[in-house]
Amino acid sequence: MKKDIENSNFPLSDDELRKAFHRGLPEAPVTAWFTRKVMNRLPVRRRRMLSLLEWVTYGVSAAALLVFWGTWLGHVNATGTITVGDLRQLFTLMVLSCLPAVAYLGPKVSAWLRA
Amino acid sequence: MLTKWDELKLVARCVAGDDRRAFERLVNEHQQPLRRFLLSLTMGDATLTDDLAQETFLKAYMGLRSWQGIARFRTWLFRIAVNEYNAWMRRHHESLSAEPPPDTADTLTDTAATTEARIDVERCLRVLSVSERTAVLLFYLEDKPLKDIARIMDMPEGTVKSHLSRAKSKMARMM
Repeated sequence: MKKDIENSNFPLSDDELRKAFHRGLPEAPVTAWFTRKVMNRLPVRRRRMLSLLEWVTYGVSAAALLVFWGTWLGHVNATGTITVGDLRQLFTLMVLSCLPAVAYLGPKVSAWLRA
Repeated sequence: MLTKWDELKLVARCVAGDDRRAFERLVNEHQQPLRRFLLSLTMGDATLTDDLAQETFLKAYMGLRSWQGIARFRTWLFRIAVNEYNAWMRRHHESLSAEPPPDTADTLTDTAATTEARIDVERCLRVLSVSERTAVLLFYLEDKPLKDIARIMDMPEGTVKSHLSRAKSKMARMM
């Protein structure tokens, strides 16, 4: 229990005063329009600082993948045969090619599903 | 009711990913006590209350990174609200009129007893200075401890106690 604020002249205890305030002052019920108004006034969604780094990473990954694909195709063309090792490399390249696409599209799909 | 951990998580989501849904949750959670406090602080001016409350939430959103998580989010929010109200008072130098504003009634569903109680409490609040009224509302309406009130009003606990004691003297005369 809180200690009363000292004042011998006052006719009510702090608890009684607290009750009087709760009873006597207006309520402000939760309203959806207030939240909407606040949300509408928020500044336009800022671009994330990470964004630039993200795009650079995508660019480097895409360039590296192109080089690897080119090297692999060149090698297959030059030898004229596909070995088990070539198939293994093909599979790895395909998986690596899918990863940036998943990383790029994943958050967008998840945001779309949440909306 | 959000726990401190919930608040930290929501604020982290707002700061890290600009998550508007997390901020919406914070607004929904805190709008009622904040608007009730401001409604009493402005002596029932519903329009001013909503303006100040909106500004408070906007300022909070802009300054979320500066919330250190030591005090509760609501305490920090109330501090912004008090600063907003003081700034508004400085801008307008408004002397509060004796008549309650006309749009006070739409926030209430009064019975005769509550109307009478409201008039009594409002009459008491009118004789107080802004600082006294702020301290009184935070202490008696929001049930905030002195430590939090001192933080919200940016003054030592002793000064808050003096405000409360002086306010009680003034209110005693009214009663």
